[in-house]
Amino acid sequence: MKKIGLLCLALVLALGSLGFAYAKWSDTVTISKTITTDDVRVSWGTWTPWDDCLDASNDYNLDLDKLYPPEGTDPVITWVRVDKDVGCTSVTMDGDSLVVTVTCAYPLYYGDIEVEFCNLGSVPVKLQSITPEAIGGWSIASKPWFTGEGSDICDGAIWVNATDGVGTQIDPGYDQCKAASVKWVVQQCASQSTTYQFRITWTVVNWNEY
Amino acid sequence: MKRIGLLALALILALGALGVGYATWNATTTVEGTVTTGKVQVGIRDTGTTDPGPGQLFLATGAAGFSADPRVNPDVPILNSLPNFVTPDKDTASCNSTNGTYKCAIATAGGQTLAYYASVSEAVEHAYPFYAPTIHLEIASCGCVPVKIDGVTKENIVDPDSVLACITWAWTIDPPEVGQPNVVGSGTLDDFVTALNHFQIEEFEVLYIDLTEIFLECTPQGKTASFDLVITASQWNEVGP
Repeated sequence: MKKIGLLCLALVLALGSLGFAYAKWSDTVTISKTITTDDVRVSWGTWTPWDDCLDASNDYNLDLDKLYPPEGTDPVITWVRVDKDVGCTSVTMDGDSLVVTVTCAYPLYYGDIEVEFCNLGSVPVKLQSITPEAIGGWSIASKPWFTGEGSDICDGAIWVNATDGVGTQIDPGYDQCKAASVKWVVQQCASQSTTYQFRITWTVVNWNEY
Repeated sequence: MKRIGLLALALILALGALGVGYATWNATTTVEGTVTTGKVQVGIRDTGTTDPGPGQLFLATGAAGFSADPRVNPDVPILNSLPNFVTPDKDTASCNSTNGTYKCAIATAGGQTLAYYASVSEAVEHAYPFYAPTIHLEIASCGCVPVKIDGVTKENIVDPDSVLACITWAWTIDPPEVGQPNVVGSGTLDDFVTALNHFQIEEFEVLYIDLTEIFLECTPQGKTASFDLVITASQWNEVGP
């Protein structure tokens, strides 16, 4: 028996030295997976300031006659063209932001930029919010024009308004851009020789989470 | 008597010299054994996804080529371990899969022959939060030895931006045995691996898997991740339980 045991041991060692291995019979299959996630990115397609500094064109002012109409008529925030070219508006692009610079503005000066809001990402988005904010310790006016009497107290140097498109869906591609506008009116309580900076932030979310 | 004995001896010697011999009658029979060993072989194939095509077409619903994105309710992505799908309306993302190298085939009861492959490659593109495509997979035991899933390992993981951490998986595993209920579950990829382990596939039978990946809110934008899921099957009688 001892001899047989020694023989078995020798056989196992010999097979081992030849590279034999004993294991379960097995086979494998593979699932290879690659995932690429999408982008949400919005920017501006076109922009056109009404009173472009590139043109020598007369200014726009708030139309007070329409804002304070005769009794029984609804007020309308609109503009009237004046016969002077005092202020002007220039727009430049900085990354995905539009930088608007208004020069030599004055109370009642009415600014307007027509823009196209575009989805440059690859997933549809919906506009979730539009948030104007004043930069540098001043306030945005709550109403477009105030005389400073009664409830019409001037509570901010500039009234700012963007087209209310909250909820609008914008599909990717330049052919799907949405038109919008940004308007502002310099108020009676604005100071002279002062620079007012404001920012309007458009926030979008992927459409299925709006 | 002595003479008779000598005669008999002489006769035997004479016959022996002539080549005649007498012996006990006998016959032989033989067992000739041929042992052909069985084979453990498994193959895989995809039978499609719920969002094929290129995506990014932005066509109107119902247009040719439109394949609406399957997606789930952001508030309740999973309900009773199943994806809580909402009505699809957009074609932004896509999920496509292809079979790799041919490996084996099995014949179905209907006389059809189905090919199975060494691997399946799946590509999800333009994924976004709450996008939830499903891939339909089949794993077949092409060999004559029944197998059990004997380990699933993740390999070649490339995920520098933690995309995989933002995916929840939901699965339905349909075992080949008649009458055995489907296994439905959801969780991490490791949970799926655990659920798949030790499933038995009889010879020339098929294990059906529907695997849905649900991209969660934390999915980072514009990133890529990849990995391999290596599924090992071994002879059933050496894999427990």
